[in-house]
Amino acid sequence: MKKFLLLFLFLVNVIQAQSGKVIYAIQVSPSANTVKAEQKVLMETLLQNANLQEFQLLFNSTSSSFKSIESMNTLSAYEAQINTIAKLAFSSADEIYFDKKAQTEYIKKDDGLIVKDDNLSLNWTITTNSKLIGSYLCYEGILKRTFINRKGETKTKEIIAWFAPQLPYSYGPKDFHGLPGLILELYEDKTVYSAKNIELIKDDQNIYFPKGRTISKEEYEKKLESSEAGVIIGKKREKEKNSQ
Amino acid sequence: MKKLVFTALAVVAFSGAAMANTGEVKEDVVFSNENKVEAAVVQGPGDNEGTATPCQESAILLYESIINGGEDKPLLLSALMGLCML
Repeated sequence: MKKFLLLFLFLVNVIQAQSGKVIYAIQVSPSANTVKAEQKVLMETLLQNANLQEFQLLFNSTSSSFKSIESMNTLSAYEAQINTIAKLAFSSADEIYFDKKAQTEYIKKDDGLIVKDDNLSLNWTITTNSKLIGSYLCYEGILKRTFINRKGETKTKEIIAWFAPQLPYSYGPKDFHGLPGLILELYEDKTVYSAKNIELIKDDQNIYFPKGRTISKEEYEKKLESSEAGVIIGKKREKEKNSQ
Repeated sequence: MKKLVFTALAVVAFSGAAMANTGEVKEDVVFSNENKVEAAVVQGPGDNEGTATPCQESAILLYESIINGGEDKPLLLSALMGLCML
């Protein structure tokens, strides 16, 4: 009877909660053997930095925001650059805002530019695999994303999310959402996002979307292609295609 | 009549000079950009004919190690190369 009462109180609490805040820690496990000896020191610095990063997901009934929790310490220009590189390499340097009703994402870049993406299609496959994360029973969701590699071939990468139906909020780290429960653990490439703190709030907390110069995802991708780094990558692609 | 001929000549001369100037500026901009891009392109690993600094070569190599055959991330490459300017 006591157990039933506790479960009932817990469910009432979850049902009443409109908003929430989740802190995610990350763990990166790279394949170190691909790094040349002279770059090992820089790579280790990047990994150390990445493994200290934490991210905050805020959500309410209609939207969410995801961004890194910045250190209060003043960073030198070099440290700030290392921090940015570690995020770009292993996690996320963007602030990601999601409007659930409009199914639109607003991605605020490091330079303040806002990229709007309203072409969201996350086709998750939910498996029967389950595990406990803390006290929450979680189920596995798999998402397959395609990308074009250097050789111009279409490749697929797999993202694995563990979500808790007990927490009926369809949000998660980065731009991963749409599962019937809050994502508590997510595996993407070499990085694992793990929820280390969950706070549910009864009131519907406001999430303020960024304002400023906004361009579409397609426009942004074109802009990247014509940047210096984009041109270098483009030339490398051509070279690899020609060498096939 | 003399005044008219003088005015016509002056107009032609000035517009010619103005056109020539515009062309020159445009050419300069395009040329310098292409040079920059080409210089950067030959900085890739194994492209020894380039003018890459050891730092930039190292940045490109580290980028290749990080993406390891996966999806390209132009912002990451840009940020790694940005370390060479600090």
